[in-house]
Amino acid sequence: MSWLEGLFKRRRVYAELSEEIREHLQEKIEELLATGMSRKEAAAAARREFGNVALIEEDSREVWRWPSMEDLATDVRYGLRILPKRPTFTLTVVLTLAIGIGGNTAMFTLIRAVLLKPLEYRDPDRLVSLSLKDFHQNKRDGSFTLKRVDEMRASSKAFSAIGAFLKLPENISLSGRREPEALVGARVSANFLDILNVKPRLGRSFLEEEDAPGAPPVAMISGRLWRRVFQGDPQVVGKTATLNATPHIIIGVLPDNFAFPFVGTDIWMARPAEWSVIPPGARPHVTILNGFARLQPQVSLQQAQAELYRRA
Amino acid sequence: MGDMILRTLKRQPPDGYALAQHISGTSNDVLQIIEEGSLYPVLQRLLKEELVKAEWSISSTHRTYQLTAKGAKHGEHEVSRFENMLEGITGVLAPGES
Repeated sequence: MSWLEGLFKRRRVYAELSEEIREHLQEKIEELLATGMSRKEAAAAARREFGNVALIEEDSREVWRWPSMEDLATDVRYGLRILPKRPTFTLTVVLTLAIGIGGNTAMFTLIRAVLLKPLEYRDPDRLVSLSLKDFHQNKRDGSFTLKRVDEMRASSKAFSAIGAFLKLPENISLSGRREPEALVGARVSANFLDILNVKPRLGRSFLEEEDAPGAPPVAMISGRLWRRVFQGDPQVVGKTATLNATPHIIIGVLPDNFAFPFVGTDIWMARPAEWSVIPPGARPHVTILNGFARLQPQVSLQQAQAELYRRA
Repeated sequence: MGDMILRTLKRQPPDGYALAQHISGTSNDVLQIIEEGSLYPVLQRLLKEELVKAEWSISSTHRTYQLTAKGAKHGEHEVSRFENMLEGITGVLAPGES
């Protein structure tokens, strides 16, 4: 079966699954109505006994998915949608991709983070994004393993802090309040706001220990989500939100228009490599992270690059 | 839960809802603590592994499930594996026989 046929088959499977679940709920509601419940009560009871519909559909679809391919497709669609809206960003990406210098060794290169809107972060000229360049293949790769990020943190003196984020946005289901809904989530290292030099509008940022595996589940939310779902509750910090069926404590609210690392992010979680599709043991070793950092005050970009050259 | 579905399907071709009710009933409601919806990811896995097949009935909007030959064989294998395991556990727990 070709990839395209597979994709069409999966779409049919997904549609049938949704229809089947709808039928299931309908049958349950009919049965409960016959016991004398009102339609509203019956619908609520049926949903309660069925569980989280969005999550169950997602789990069921997962069986058929070829994750990397469909995630890639989602990424490409996202990219195509977002690039025309941000011409500067597009131009930068094109220029970045066009830069290529011959050589015969793998090394780090730094790209000045002009992608980040200059005025939204303090001292934006100190912010850099990190990428690897393989000069054998003249190929730039922005992907790091968690292990590589940890090594860089341990050895680099040119940066005041090095951070990482999961390079793909994650679909996060928010349940327990009104209807369940799918949100754009980002996994970031605990120090991400320190590097960007941004303060939350409410609450706090992640603590270093919250980056360790097994730390209690906590999350930060966007100003947009705070207003829309939590009605701008000034006491929202410390409350619980059920994300992907796991209760998370909300520790902070980001400022409006904060769009790092993805436009439209509503949920931020720590432990960037903790991506559900990767088995826990493999997480430190898979190239799923993007790196970024803040240069030390007196260190130039060239000096930082030279330091990375020496270690390559 | 996959094996329980296979055993249930050996007897009748129900839809997902009937399957959920049946499993809940025959397991002395032990499985009532599990949400009904958790049946569907398992059913999808059984479909993908071709242990069951599904058909939309023409007269209604229900989708019914049936065991395939592979599913029937798999079910028997799992039952015998479970019985062997049970025998082993009983052997270990039986007092004074070792």
